[in-house]
Amino acid sequence: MNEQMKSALRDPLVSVRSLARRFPTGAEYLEVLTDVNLEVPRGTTVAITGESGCGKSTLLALIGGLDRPTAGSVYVGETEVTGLEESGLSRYRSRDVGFIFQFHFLLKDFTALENVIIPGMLASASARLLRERGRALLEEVGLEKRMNAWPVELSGGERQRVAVARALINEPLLLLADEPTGNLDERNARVVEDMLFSLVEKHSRTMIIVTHDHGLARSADTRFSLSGGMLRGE
Amino acid sequence: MRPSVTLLVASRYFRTRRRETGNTSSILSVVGTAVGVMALTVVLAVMNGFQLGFIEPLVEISSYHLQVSRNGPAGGGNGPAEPAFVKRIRGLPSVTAVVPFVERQALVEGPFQRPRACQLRAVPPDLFALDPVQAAMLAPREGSFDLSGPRSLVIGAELAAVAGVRVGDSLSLTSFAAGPDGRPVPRKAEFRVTGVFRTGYWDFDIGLVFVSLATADEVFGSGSPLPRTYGVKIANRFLDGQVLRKIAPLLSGTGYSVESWRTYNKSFFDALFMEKLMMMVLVGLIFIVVGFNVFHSLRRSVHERMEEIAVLKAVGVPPGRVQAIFVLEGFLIGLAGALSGLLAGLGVAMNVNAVFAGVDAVINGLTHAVYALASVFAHGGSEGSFAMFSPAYFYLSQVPSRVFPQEAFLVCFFAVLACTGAAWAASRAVSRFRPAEVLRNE
Repeated sequence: MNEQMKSALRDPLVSVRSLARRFPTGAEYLEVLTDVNLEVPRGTTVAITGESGCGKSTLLALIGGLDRPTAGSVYVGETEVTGLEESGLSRYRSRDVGFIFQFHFLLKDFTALENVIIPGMLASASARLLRERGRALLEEVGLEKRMNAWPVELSGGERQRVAVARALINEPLLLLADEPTGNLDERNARVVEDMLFSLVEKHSRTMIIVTHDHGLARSADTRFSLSGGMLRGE
Repeated sequence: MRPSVTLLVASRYFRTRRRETGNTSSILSVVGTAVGVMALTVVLAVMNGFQLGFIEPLVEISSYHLQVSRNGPAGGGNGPAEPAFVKRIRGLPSVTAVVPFVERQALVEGPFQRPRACQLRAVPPDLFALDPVQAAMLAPREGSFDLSGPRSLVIGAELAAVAGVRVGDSLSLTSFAAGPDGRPVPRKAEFRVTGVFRTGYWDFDIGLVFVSLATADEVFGSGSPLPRTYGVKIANRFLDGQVLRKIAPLLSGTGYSVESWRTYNKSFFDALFMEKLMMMVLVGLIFIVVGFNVFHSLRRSVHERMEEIAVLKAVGVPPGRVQAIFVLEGFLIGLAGALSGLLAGLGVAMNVNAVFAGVDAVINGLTHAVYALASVFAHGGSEGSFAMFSPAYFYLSQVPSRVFPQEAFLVCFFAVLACTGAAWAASRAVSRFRPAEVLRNE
């Protein structure tokens, strides 16, 4: 690996600067994030822990372009996410980011394979190639025999594995995982955790994971704690 | 082929909503649209039937599609010698007939009637061969359209009835002819009835008589032929403007001019058009109800699927495409309703008399049953006979009905437009919220 490539890998993929988010609560405002600064180098994993309601998911939503901040900025690569219009945000969410939620949020009227390929339909020019890629990803998460199952026919762990495959379909730069094991029992949580980290490593992805689970957080390269609306290194 | 997320999701939602919930509101939307389309199709068909009962006799018998005359309609001409331009007009590709005629006011007097005003029309004896469309409308109910004999006359059925004449009878006709000093003088002559026609248009059946051009020249010509007007028929009367522009140069320098059927009876045709337009608008109001139904149905659908919409947006589906999913569903509701309504409407419109007869039978059956029940307790009374449409009240034997494909298409188009527009309005919320707002609450 030459110096230029090493330098590129050292460059932060995600830069969060003075990020603030408040929510109106009647006549007053609830300050959830006050001054968040974060840099995530390419190809690394970052875990953010914190108490319930401290703003972990809000921070993830802001980085993923699902919400807009009250102040501050988010850069992913060269893109200032916080400056994007609605169409630009959709493109960003489709191409650059893969989401994994605590609740799998699979579309119940679509099979496992269809759930995986739907985000890819926006970018892919070929339905056949897309289905092939979807099948390959479901094989990678161990669901080769459950491709045509409906979400209601899948177990909690299987649904979350479908969600992981869905997040990877567009080969995003950045994976954002919001309590990916929070809704699973201990055994399934470890299965999903191992699978998630091995896929991130295999596909050389950058991942930000927010979790209560300190065991899961320890698997990340870097850990932060969120409290009082600010991030602190652990 | 590039896969379409909008089509995939919309078609799946359209199917699964029915499977899961029975989807009463969507079915009601489809039924509402179908009823609206059916009602409008039937109303327009019947209205067309009634209106064409006026328009077609006027255009095919009275005004022709175009008239070539020297001094306006039914004006002067050069007598029986056919001007050169007539042959050239006959040679135009869209012209189907050119008929010379003379029109006069006259008084008709039968054995049991005082003189009555009528329109005297002198035409060639071979009118039926020259203009088959007019021939079909004037098909005699009695006798034949025979003007070949001297002083032969064909008369409208109602006029024949009030004059008390039948085929073979005589009646007298009085009209004006130019006197020696050029002033009009009345001329009266006896004619023999050779045929009685019924067009279904009251004004013609009570006020129109035909004689031959030769007879008219002889009786009312004062020794010289009467001036002719030339009625022109074309393949499609709605293309009158095109043909008129072709005929006008042929008349240059002849002293003749040409006018379209639209200029005759203009105020009457305008009134009919306004009547139809207003009826369309009033019956079309049903589409507002349909639109509200679709709006509420899809707004509920959007609300129920808020989480899935948020997920779709979170994975990068643009708001416009997510909204298109619901707009497409509204379009499908409109299309399903429009097509089924059109089929039902065509079925009713083409069998409107059978439908009326069925309704009459049901109502009369119920009335009969009520009277039969009442007669147990009391004597007297009569059950009557209900009829939605009776020839006793209308100068028609049946309810006329005519469907124009372009109108049926327009009705379906507006139905689909109403549903699609309502779906668009109902799904506007899709683009307003941020995915995090919904996913956070979940």
